[in-house]
Amino acid sequence: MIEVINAGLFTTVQDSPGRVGYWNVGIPPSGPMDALAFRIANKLVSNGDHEAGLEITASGPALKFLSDATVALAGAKLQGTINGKGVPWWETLYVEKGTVLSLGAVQGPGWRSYLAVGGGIDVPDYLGSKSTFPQGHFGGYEGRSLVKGDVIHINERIAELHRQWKSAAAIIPRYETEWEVGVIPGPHAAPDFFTPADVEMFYSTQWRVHYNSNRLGYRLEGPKPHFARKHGGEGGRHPSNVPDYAYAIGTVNFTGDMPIIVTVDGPSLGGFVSLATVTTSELWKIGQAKPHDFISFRRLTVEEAIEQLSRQEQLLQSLA
Amino acid sequence: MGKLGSRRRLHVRAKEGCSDAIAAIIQEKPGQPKVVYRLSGDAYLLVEYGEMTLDLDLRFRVHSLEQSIKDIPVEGVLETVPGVCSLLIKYNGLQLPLGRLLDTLKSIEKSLPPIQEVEVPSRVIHLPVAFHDRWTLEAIAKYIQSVRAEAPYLPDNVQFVARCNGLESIEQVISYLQATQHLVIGLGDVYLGAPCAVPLDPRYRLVVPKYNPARMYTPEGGVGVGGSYICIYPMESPGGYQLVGRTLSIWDTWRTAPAFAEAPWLLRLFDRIQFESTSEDELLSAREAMLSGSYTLRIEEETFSVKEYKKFLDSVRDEAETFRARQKRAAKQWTKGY
Repeated sequence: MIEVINAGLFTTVQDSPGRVGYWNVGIPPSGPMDALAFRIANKLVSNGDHEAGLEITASGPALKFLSDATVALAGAKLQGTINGKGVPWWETLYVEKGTVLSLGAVQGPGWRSYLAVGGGIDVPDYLGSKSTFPQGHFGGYEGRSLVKGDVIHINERIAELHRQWKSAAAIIPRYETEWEVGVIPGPHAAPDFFTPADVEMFYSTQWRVHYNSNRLGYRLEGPKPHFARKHGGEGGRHPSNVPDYAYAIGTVNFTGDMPIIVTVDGPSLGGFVSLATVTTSELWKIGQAKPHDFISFRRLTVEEAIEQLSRQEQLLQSLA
Repeated sequence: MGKLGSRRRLHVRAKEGCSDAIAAIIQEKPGQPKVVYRLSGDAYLLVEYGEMTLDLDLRFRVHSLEQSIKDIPVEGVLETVPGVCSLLIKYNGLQLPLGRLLDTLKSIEKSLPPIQEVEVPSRVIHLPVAFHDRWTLEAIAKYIQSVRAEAPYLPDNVQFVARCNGLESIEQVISYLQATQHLVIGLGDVYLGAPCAVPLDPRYRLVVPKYNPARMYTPEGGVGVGGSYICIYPMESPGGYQLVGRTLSIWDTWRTAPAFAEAPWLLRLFDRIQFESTSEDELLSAREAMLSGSYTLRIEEETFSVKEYKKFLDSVRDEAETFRARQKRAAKQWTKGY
């Protein structure tokens, strides 16, 4: 068991790939915003991808281990101490009963950190997943982010089996404050919805991450598009409107003039055009982009994106 | 603001932008609506029918495609999500290359039934609504206080719906909302089984612009009209539809009520919602009774036939035209400069 001495800014239980299979009724997958770091953390403690861990945003919790455990921290590096000493990142850590892991503010680039525990965090499944969806008040720990005094159960017996030290040093992703993110054009592009100049502008701009960005969506500040149409036809008045359709996770919507990247707790249906969609193997970068970071988009073909995804999967397998 | 052009960049010609986003197109021919296969990243494909209009024919084509994909089933396809005239297909690109998915979809297209022959199971669900109620008026008051004090749809959304549609009174709006059934054509718009539903009788098809900007708060169970859709809010949330009333809960996380025995969401695709006016007090009792399991929803199991519906549309064509003309005149007057 783990006692929450201090909850941090926004700490939730998540599993990967989350609550999949319900997008058609508007239940988002949730799960980690940076699935890459999350999966690496799980591999470091010999967990399967699906085991639940903690997602920590910007500033970390203080946790007291009430039993022995194997843990690993990945993602954005936080200030912190474990039993008064420095906290190693991206490697397996064996903690004894009574240990206090005290995490502070994020140091340097990146925005989200992950704590995996050997055996996984034990909360009830809701619709097949342990991921928290706070807006719906379900999943994770009582459907909400952690608060001081919570006691989290872990699958301790399984943890006993995994005391093998590992390091992810060879595959640690690079974190920055100016992110270049691979996208595939579409579903809506030029010349039907956007002007050629809009497309040019989209790919040549360094978009600034708006402070009001979260697990539902990432808002981007930058120039306004002109749009190819005068209005949205039957979809609505604004030229960014189309009849409601289902969004891909990672799609870059124009809600009016502002681009918003749909992320893991986002809405499934909506009526705004999307100029490009972040590729699967690059979605983690959005999860690590913090407010006021810059994001620019690099266009890829589906074949290139699948090739990158395949390489990423092979790297992850090399840790197993 | 973003720094424009401050970094090296691939220079893109716009013509390429067009072909890059569209993987394939099937042109319209008799019995075959136009199909545009739009890329939506490396894990999704958006199959879009027709010319992006709200046309129920196209919605039923989307349904036929979705059914067909489920029936076969196509290996590597993970999820499908219908929209108004499109189907989002999530697939595993490592297992199913895009080219093979496209070939499969094009071949399925040839086997789909004529739209006229489509029939779907369709329940009629009677929902009590307290129209023009204190909870939605309170939400509007909050909006006026914290977001925007003046807008054409303030201070009374129902009054705005009346004006935009050439109706004389709030009462008339309320009677129009009960005069037609609303067909659920999408779920989860927005979140947790929220219905996107369209009025089936064109003589009572209200159309109204949405909020700009959106509300930060909407009560759970709120009923709204936006564009020509209606929706019901499954949880307290932001929202942009004009609020006209409040009904029962359509989401029950712990599935305590019998109506939620199968799933935490109440409504299914192609359900027909029939609103029935009730008082605020009666609604409150009904909401409580529903949670304790003592409320019985009136539900009739029926089917919806496209052929029958076309016959009905033909029979009311003239009256629908008359209403649409009056509606257009009113909209022009009341949404000027909106």
